[in-house]
Amino acid sequence: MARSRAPLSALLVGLAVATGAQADTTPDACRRLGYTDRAASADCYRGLLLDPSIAVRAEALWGLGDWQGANSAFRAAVSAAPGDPEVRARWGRLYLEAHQDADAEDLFREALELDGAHVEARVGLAEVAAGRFDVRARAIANSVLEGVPNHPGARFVLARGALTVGDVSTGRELVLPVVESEDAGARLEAMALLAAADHLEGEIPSPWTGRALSESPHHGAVFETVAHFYVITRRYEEAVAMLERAVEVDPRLYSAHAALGINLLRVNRFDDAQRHLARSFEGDPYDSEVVNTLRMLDSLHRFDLTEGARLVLRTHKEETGALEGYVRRLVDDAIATMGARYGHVVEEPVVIELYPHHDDFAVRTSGLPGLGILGATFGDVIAMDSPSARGIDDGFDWASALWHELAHVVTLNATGNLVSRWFSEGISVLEEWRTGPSRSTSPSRSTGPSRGRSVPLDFIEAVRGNRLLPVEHLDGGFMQPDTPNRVALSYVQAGLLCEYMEDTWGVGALARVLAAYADGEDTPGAIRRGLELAPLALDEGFDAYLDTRFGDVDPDRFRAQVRSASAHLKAEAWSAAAEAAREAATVYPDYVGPASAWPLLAEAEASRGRIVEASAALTEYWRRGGRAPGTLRRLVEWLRSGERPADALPVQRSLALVAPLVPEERRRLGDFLTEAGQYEDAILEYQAHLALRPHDRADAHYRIARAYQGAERLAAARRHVLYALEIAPRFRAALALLLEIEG
Amino acid sequence: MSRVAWLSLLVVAVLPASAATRTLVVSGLGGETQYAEAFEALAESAAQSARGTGAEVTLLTGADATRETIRDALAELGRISAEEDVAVVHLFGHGTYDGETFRFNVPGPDPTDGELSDWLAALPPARQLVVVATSASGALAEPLRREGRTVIAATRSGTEQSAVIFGDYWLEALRAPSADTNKDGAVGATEAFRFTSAAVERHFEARGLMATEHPRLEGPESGILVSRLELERLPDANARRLAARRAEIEEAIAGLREEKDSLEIDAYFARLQELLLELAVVERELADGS
Repeated sequence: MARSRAPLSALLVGLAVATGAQADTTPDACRRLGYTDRAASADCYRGLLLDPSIAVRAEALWGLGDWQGANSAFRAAVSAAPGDPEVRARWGRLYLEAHQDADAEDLFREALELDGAHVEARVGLAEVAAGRFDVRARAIANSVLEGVPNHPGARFVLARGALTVGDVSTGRELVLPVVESEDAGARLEAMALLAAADHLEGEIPSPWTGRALSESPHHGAVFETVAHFYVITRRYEEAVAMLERAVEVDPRLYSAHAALGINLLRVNRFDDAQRHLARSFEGDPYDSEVVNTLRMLDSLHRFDLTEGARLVLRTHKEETGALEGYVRRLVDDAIATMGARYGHVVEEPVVIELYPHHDDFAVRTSGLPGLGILGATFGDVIAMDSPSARGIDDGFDWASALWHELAHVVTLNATGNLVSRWFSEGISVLEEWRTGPSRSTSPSRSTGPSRGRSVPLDFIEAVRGNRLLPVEHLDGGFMQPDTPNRVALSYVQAGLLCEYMEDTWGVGALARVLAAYADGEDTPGAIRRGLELAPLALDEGFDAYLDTRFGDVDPDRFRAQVRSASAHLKAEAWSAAAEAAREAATVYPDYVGPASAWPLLAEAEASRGRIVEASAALTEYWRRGGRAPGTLRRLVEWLRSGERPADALPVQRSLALVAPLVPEERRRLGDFLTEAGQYEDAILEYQAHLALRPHDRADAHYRIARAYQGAERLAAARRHVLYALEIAPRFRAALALLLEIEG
Repeated sequence: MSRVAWLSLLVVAVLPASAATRTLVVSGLGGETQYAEAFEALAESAAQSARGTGAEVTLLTGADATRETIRDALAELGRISAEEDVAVVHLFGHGTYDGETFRFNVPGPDPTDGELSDWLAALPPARQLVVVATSASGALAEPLRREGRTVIAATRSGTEQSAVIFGDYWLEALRAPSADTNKDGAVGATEAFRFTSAAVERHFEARGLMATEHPRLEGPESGILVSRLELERLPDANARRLAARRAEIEEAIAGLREEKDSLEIDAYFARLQELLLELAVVERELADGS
């Protein structure tokens, strides 16, 4: 909907004349009628279509579902009464309903410029802010309540915020008084929020849903509200059930069809999702989430669906061959490793979707492009960027991200989705660090992600500045961030908190906390049960732990030494550069992010001809989780030229894992593995190389054949050598191999 | 016998006994020193590779590469060539296109697409290859189109006017074993084109850059050799006999591949294996003979 266009509905005006509409009613009266008798409500609105006030006619068109007509009428109303804040506030609310929050915000602000105390405009602004998880929503709503203590809209904003972070009792307190309101709409919304509170606390069925339906039989929105909080708490099956009830009660509740469609995708019911999204689009073509998601679904014909007992994989056709092997290994490994650590093995197949275009993943996840996250887990469904969407150079280690999401599958599955956000994230981050470990050295478990990824410098600065959140409020760090980097800090804090718990009380403590969540405990209860400790005591112990780990790390000194090393490198002062880089590495050896000290040290050492020392520096970088492909490639070359193929192999494994769609890396790893006699792993690499459509296909088949021969799988070896020779009959090495195979 | 002796026989199998390949290689104006040196180096490498295939080569670089010398060189090539011979032309440098006319930049007046087309049209050889490694060279693809002539251009059209990296990867193709996809020990024009196209695409992808050139092949796919990866030697009588048998087997394999869709897949591969095993034995005997 655009503010600059839209015709008035002549048809509706005509109908108004035909029905002989009454002139003594109001839009509010028509709205109230709608809760019990929609036909009468529609008649009522039609009666207002000939009202002398253009603002009233706008309300009537809006009530009759003609949003374009209403938009046009509101525009005319504003022109007729430019100093009236009420018209702008109402127009803003129309935009809010039409999913155009930015336009709504503009209108609320314009209304407030005319009347700084305008309550509905302030509440509108609070709702816009709440929709963006902006903490200012709370401040605005509180300021409204200072003047109008029982304002339903302001109470709803605060109650939704409280329920979002699990503060159910506050949520209840805020909305209970509204149940007695004279405004039927407010009463019904209060009941919906109370029903949501009941569901969040497991009090099912909630009496409030029945009460809402007895007042308004087709008020499906009560179930939609409950579903919203199931979504917030990642209980998608329950959300779907509620939304199905919502559209059953009110088939014209298009927002519920939209939410149902999006959440059906999250439980892997694509056909049903498409049906409800299409239904939503028919009734509300302005919902960009629906439009985007329908477009994304249309593009899925370019994807393969590979179904197995443990894994259902949806990948782009051009990437399946290169990624499937790694994904299978990661899933098997993660489920077994984490199952053993937490005493819970996921039995159902895990659904994994890898999207080559980030916006497709974002739409799949939230309905909107531009989402900042890289992966999302909905129960046992994982959707994330594929390695082609962004690379390790953009900070995206896809295998580590998948490992993170698989940990979510375990924690969500183990608790029936009742685990708190911070604990689930903390376990996922911890598992990225802790159980991606020895895979770089153990050939049979070679697919795990990097371990020990360094803690960013801004987190250490937050520790030094006492800017971390208490554990009881750590969920808010994810859901209602107070600063731009709060979400990122909260991930690291949650990971370190779980690490502290494991280091202090053992992994069993983490499993006990998980079990407590599964039993419905909130965070304080889960900590008390799992650790026999009050949350405050956990915070105190954690502070001391952080001090031990990071007390000696001075970010400023580190940065200064890195800057100095870079400057010396530029000036070709190799010794001074090496000295500064070594000093930086001593200050914070674990830092392997951008501008890590180790590559600088390697550069300085290599430049003065000390390749052994340079290799040692990059080996430290790699061991501590550094994964920049260019840097690892250099290390592999140095190790190979230094005749250290056994040391080069695990580094090349890391390289192939972080860049799985680069054919040369897969082929090179296949060569190294063949050389080392690890033929089965070599076959996987060569198959991936072939799937990436290399220029020299005959050679790709020949390499596979050679690996099969090494693995004594002669039938497969014969097949591939024939494929090679079919392309290039004169391929002498392949002809020789054929003779060898045939003995 | 040298392990590469058989390579010469492939050429015998492909071309009439008396056929000769004549190649003209030209590097145009560089403008800046770095380009001038790079174009000359590319041209010299391409000429060297062509000589390795047994072609007679004329190389024009620097001040010697003018509109007139190119015209004269092509005229001479035409004078000494017959219809069964092969003509190959390589142009390295900058090209421009003003929406109507392509110009290959050389000292003095630039030859245009019309002139190049006329000069090439006068060449008797039925099989021709023209490789234009210049900016805007896609503009030449249509004007130079002719039966039996393969035109390889660095760009899709005349509107791609940035300096091209095509030449660097073309040179790589002349040297890379992986460019030799049919493993016959030599790189044909189509093999080199495919290798170069893939490398150019990867070049831009790897750097996250928008591709400013898209190589193009116009006309028939071409097995005209642009490089030989291994040295060849004259075969003896036994080697000639084995090579003749090898040619027969290869012909049978080619026939079998054409019938693939009409055969049971197991029967197809069984027959293919029989032929390949015989080929492998012949190949081994050839290698042992060396």
